Amino acid sequence: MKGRVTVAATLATLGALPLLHPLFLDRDWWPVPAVAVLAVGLTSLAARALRSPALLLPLFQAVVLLALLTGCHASGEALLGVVPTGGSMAVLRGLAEAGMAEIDANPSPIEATSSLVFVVTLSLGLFAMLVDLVVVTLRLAALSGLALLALLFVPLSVHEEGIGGPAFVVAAAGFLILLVVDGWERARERGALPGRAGGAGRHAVDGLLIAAPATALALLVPAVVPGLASGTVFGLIDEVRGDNGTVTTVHPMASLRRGLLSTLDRRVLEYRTSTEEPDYLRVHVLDAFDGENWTMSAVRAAQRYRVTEEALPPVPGVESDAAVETTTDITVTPTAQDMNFLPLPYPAQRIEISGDWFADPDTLMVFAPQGNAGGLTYRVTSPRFATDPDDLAAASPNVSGVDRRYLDVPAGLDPRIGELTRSIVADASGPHERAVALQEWFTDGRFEYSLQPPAVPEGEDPLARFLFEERVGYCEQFAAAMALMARQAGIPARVAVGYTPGEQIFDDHWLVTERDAHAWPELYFEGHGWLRFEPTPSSGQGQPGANVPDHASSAPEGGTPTPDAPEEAATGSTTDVPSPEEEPTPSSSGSGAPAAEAPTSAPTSRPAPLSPLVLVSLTLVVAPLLPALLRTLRRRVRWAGARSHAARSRAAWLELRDDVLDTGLAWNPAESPRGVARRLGEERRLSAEARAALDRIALAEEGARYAPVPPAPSQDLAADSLLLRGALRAGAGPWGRMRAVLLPRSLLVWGARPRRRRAHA
Amino acid sequence: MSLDTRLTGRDDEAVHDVGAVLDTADRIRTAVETVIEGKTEVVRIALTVLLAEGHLLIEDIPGVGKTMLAKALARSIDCSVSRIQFTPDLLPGDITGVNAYHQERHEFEFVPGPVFANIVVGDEINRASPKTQSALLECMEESQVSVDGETRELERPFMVVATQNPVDMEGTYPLPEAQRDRFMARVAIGYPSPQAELDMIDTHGSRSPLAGLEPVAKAADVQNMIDRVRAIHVSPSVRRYAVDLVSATRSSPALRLGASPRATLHLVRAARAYAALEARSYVIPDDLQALAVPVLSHRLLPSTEARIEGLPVEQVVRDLVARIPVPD
Repeated sequence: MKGRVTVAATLATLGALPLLHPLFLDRDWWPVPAVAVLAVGLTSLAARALRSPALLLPLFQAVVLLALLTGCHASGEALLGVVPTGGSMAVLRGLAEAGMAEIDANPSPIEATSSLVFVVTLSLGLFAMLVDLVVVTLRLAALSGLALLALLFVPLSVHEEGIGGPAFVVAAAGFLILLVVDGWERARERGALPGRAGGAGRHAVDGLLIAAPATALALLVPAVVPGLASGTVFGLIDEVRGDNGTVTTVHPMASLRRGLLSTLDRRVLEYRTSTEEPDYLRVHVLDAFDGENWTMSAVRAAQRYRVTEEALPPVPGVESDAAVETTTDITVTPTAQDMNFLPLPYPAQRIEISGDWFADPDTLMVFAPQGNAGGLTYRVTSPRFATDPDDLAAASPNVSGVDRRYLDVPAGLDPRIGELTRSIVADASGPHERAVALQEWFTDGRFEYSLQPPAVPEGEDPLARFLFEERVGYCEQFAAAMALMARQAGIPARVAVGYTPGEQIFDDHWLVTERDAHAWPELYFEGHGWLRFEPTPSSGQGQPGANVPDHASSAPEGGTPTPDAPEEAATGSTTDVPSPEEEPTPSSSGSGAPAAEAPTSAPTSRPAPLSPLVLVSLTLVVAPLLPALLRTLRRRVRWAGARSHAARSRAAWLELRDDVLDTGLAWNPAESPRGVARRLGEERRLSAEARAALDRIALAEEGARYAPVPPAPSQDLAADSLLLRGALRAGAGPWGRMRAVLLPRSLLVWGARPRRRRAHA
Repeated sequence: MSLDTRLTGRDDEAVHDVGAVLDTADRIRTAVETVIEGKTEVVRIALTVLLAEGHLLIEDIPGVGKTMLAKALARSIDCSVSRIQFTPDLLPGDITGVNAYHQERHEFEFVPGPVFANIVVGDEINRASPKTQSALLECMEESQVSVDGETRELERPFMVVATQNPVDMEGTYPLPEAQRDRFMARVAIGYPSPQAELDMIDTHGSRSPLAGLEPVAKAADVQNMIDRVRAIHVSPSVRRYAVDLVSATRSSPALRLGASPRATLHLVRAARAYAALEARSYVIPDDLQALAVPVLSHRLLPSTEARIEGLPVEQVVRDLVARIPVPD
């Protein structure tokens, strides 16, 4: 009888396993947990076939589960391979601790190590026991849906991408099968009662008719409604989804511009540094130019590059090891929002910070998929390499230590840009001279710095307009243009976004505010790595706080590496390419940076782990049903625990009390059982059948309480109780009935009696 | 009533035992009810007191059949019965008996008083002097008589059925609290219903109804019933309930004097008999509830406030019963 339900419960639990699949890197984590679930189910089947008491069942299941775990993980220490010993238990405990530590330490997906598989097997084994208890012992099949829901929340809450549709379907199907089987069995049991014959299986069909469309809706609605589709619940069509954890963020250029134009000029961070001349603080690196915008390719939060006590990935391309270490203690203001990339001096090599942060080995950006640097304080150690000007000047134009994508120039650019670049670098020998020439071309005075560049007419190429016509812009345009032109000149380049050193408050304390936001090009030189250049006019009318680094000054023979240098240098390098002469021909595939306000094609914000909307709707749906659920649960527990005559009488009596309270009638603890029966018979016009049932229940309770040997109840008290509940509710009117179901007053009463008043009180 | 018969819990083993009690008791009840019509509850209490080895106090105005009830109960059992009419000049020896000098044998010989009987009907007990009253009360409590230093056992069963007029009637010595406490229960008969009164004229008009009353049970039967009643089960929780009920009277603000521990004993003993009369082998709180007023109220004194409010003691007891939780 209960066998079918047991099998269905086991199937439903197995069906829930795929829900956890996205949490693991390895594809083969599941066999051992599945065996554990099966073992628990088979134990239940066997024990019920042998008619063992239901109370002992969890014990048997626990023993089997323990033997299985011992056999799989600690057979060396165990007797006969499966019988636990002190040694094997110690091994298991160690595995559990290690597994928990791994779960704590790593974001999903996670590698299925043996300790992790142990923890998962144990959890799923216990889960299967719980489902078995709820479904088979307590006969509350529907309640197991809550347990499955809890399992569903695991991937939803820790995994960025949510769960897959197929896994959801499998889990839902398992649950539906369970409901159907349970309903069928229940109908058969009812059919055995007089007056309730027939209709076996009708419940099952009814249930399916409701459940199947509901499941279909659950799958379809999120896919159709745009607001839900990209959310975490069904992260199925996320474009930037990689095969690993990905992270997206608001386009750095958009936040840059917002910062520069901020009227409030809020503080962003403060830092103390060991150097007199602190470097820029870099946040993002934009490495791809699509012809219009600089964007950031997706970065991976890989375990290997998790930020720990140890050093970050090595600085790319640097061969020198003569470096001066600089330490910077950065405190980000607590109100900073969505700052999931850390502002860092380049190149950061060691970071002491709390939370889960990951480094990108290529750019040395540090980020956290779930984190926010707001309010954090961290210490950064960054080397400052001594660059010998001669070496730099002699750097090879053949770059090999860097990805070729840093040289990508999209097709279809305005041809004048290429010509311009060639003319600027024509006289330069070597990559470094070319880079300096480009930088000087921007800073020699022909450009005007303004945070409000003129609007670009519709259809025109913003970059060409910036280079050839307006020549007005701010750091974003300068950096974007120079990085592109450097690529055209054969130098690997990218755009960095972050902050200038800010303002020195006193001693070694510096303050960075929103208006210190900045963008600059980073150029790569063989043997020297990525070096910062500064094409944006920095002094006077230029960007405050910006400065030209030593290695980027034009004249090793006597250049002035002061922030004011560019203007002086400008006099030296003349405009060998008179751009105004060239006619601007707008090209549709032109490039330029000013479109930065628009977000990139990638989702602009990271989906929240669990949408508040989902939580709220769940609460709205579940909360009103909670009292009814609790009431039902209490009834089931009461009957399930009642074995002896006395206990069954007691259960029937307490049920009567609760039903009386639920239907709004009074309950006086000073009334004896037959006193209650007498009163109820008078207050509610009960049918003769209900009266008889009431009398039986009262007599059974009376006998159980006061007789030396409780008499056996004459009939099935559970049936009497059911009949009586129906009669009481029928007499309560429609509102009373609804209140009895949804807001059962009896829930306010715990313990054996509503209120105990001592006679002596 | 119908509910009570339907609800009667019959326990296979106990039914056999209790069944015999029920048969005899039913016969007595039927016999008494031919004389006192329409007073089922009063008759039931009287029977209960008989089976519980207690003494009954019948208090009511004259002429409603107090003595008739006492006599009918006595007459329906085939046992020795004596009747004492209490008057102010009655002496203790008139009750207990005296040592009289035997002229021929030249020695004192004990002449037993009317108290040496199975059922003693004490009419208008509150008209006797306190000294005489107390002589009877010693017999009630001890089931023995002490005359001139010699103690004599009374017969079994022994029951005193005393009647008294309400205490505010003329020419009465109210029973002191200590003496009222010796009675297991007090009942009031009350006026008959008009129909019962009409019937009474018809049937009682010509001859005394007692004349036709034949004994329906022997004294040994009654003693046998009493022994069985002692075996009725009282669960610990029900005992506790009895204690709760009685001690509640001691803390009630409406009462100046609460019930004594003897009241608790009487209550439980009476409840056993009451259960047996319902053919039940165990006591339930309902028995105690039904007996609380007759067993407790005559032992209680209302507080001044309750007296001023006109709150009868019986009502106070009923309120307590409705308030004390029954045991689980």
